[in-house]
Amino acid sequence: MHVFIDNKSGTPIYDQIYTQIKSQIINGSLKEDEMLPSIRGLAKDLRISFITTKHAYDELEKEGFLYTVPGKGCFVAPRNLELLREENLKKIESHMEQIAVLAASCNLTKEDLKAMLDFCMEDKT
Amino acid sequence: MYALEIQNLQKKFEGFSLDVSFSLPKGCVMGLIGTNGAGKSTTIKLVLDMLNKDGGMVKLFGKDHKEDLAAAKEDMGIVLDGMGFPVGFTPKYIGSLLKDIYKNWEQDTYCSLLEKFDIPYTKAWGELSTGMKMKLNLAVALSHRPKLLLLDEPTNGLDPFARDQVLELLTEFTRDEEHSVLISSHIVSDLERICDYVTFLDKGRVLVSDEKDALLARYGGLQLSAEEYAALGDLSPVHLRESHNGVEAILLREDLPAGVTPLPVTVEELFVAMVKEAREV
Amino acid sequence: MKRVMRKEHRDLSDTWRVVCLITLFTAFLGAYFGGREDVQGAIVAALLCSCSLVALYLADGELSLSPEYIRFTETLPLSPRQKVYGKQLYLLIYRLGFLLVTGLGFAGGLLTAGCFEAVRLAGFLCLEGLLLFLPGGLFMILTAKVSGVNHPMPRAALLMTVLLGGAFPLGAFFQGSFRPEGLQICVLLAAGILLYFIAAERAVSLWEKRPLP
Repeated sequence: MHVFIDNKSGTPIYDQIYTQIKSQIINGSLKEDEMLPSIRGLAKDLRISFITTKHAYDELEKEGFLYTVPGKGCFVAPRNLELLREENLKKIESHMEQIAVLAASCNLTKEDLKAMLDFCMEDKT
Repeated sequence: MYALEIQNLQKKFEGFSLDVSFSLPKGCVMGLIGTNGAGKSTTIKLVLDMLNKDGGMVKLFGKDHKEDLAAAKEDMGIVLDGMGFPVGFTPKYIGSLLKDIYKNWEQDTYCSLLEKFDIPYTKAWGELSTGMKMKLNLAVALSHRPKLLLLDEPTNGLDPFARDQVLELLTEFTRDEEHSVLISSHIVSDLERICDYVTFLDKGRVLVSDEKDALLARYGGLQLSAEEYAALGDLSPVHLRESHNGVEAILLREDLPAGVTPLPVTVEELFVAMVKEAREV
Repeated sequence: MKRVMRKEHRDLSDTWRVVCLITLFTAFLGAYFGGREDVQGAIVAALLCSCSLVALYLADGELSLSPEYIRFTETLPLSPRQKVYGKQLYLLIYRLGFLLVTGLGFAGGLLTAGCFEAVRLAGFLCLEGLLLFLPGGLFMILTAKVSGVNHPMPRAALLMTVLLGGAFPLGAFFQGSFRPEGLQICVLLAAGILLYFIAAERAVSLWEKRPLP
């Protein structure tokens, strides 16, 4: 597992770790039941607070991407297509919320948004 | 489980008074950040009973600090500001001296640390550079299996490479969850990354003491032109700086209007902001 | 020598060499001049002994503890009693005691020797030099081992007292000028010096237990 931290990016460090591990799980570079570095170990390797790595691991566990065996460590949860789909749905929903807020702040109507969506999806499908 | 607990620790001097409360959970690194004269060294001296406290409670490893302090010091690696040795002492001599004083002195660890820090084994203290003196003090502090490190400005006088070595050492030290570190400094950038907890001290008072990540997550920064800022309405920033260039503000994220994405705030920025605010009041 | 005189380069090993050299030098020259049966010889020997005192002063300077070092000792797992030995106050008392020992030992030696005979005086001065400063030097080497953290002070005081209290009468005996009344005074002086050191140690212990500022 490789995690790289970009100090200069605006993204919080726990978020960077969370995202990188998640994508490695999703794209398969981290295998099912593979043991992840310990929370403390990873923190010390990256020279950051262990509370940060714990935060990232907790988020991943909450979403079902990893599981903890007490006394042993954290492991990659079995690949779950349902979970992945749910993940993507969640992302879309969150983006939609943001869109709604931004639209409201510049007075766009639902029709305006639908038109923009049609435009975007034209070259995707 | 706390390595160190401080509650209403009070001390009065001519023209300065201290009243602090904070606690260091076991297995964590806490950065005690304060301006010069904020009371960082005073706090550490009070914990070590080098000064008599006027009031309050201090617990080391769960026991009152005055209860068998000598035994507690076996498990503490301490580096104080302005600490040193007689001019004629060599690292070799210091090692031979301390192995009869500490129950858990590890000569191998000591020698390998000296080597790592490039400290000549038989060079007299008086002939060492400031940086080497500091590194030697740290080597001594780490060579008797301490559980708690109390470090008062340990990176003062160190070049960036040496500072990096020290931070690396502290990181390794806290790999073990039984080990804790309280490090006081005014060079915040060193502590930014490695601290789990931070405590801001100014003029003898604690401004805030919290988990670093949680603290930083509560605040956001804005850099806008004066007009854009005014357009956001009446916010109550923690800190505001207006110039020809525009407006720089630090505020609580919950006070931000929707749709505005704040910039991340560093510990250093937040500290400076909070000190300024505290002094303006 | 120059190296020892320049404060910033003074280090412990240099000072020991100087102390030992001066002591031997004094003893040799004292013995040489002591062979002359005149007051001049005695005066020269006395001056040479003063050099020993100067050497002592230099060595003593090494035992001064810097505030830096005192601060370091605060971080050590020492009981308050152990810390006592490391404090400046204790060293002050030690220095006073040492001066006292030198003076009283000198007087004691004179009294036992039947003082006003130049030859014996000179002989005693160099004997005193050897007996006073060699153990003193040894003591300093011992204390330098922990320099201020764990002085074997009472042991050294005892050693010096016994040596002084015993050496002078012995020397007088071998020189043939032994005076019994002098011996009594010598023993009293020795006891006095021992008591001084013990009382001083107790006093400093109590002083240490006082409330800090």
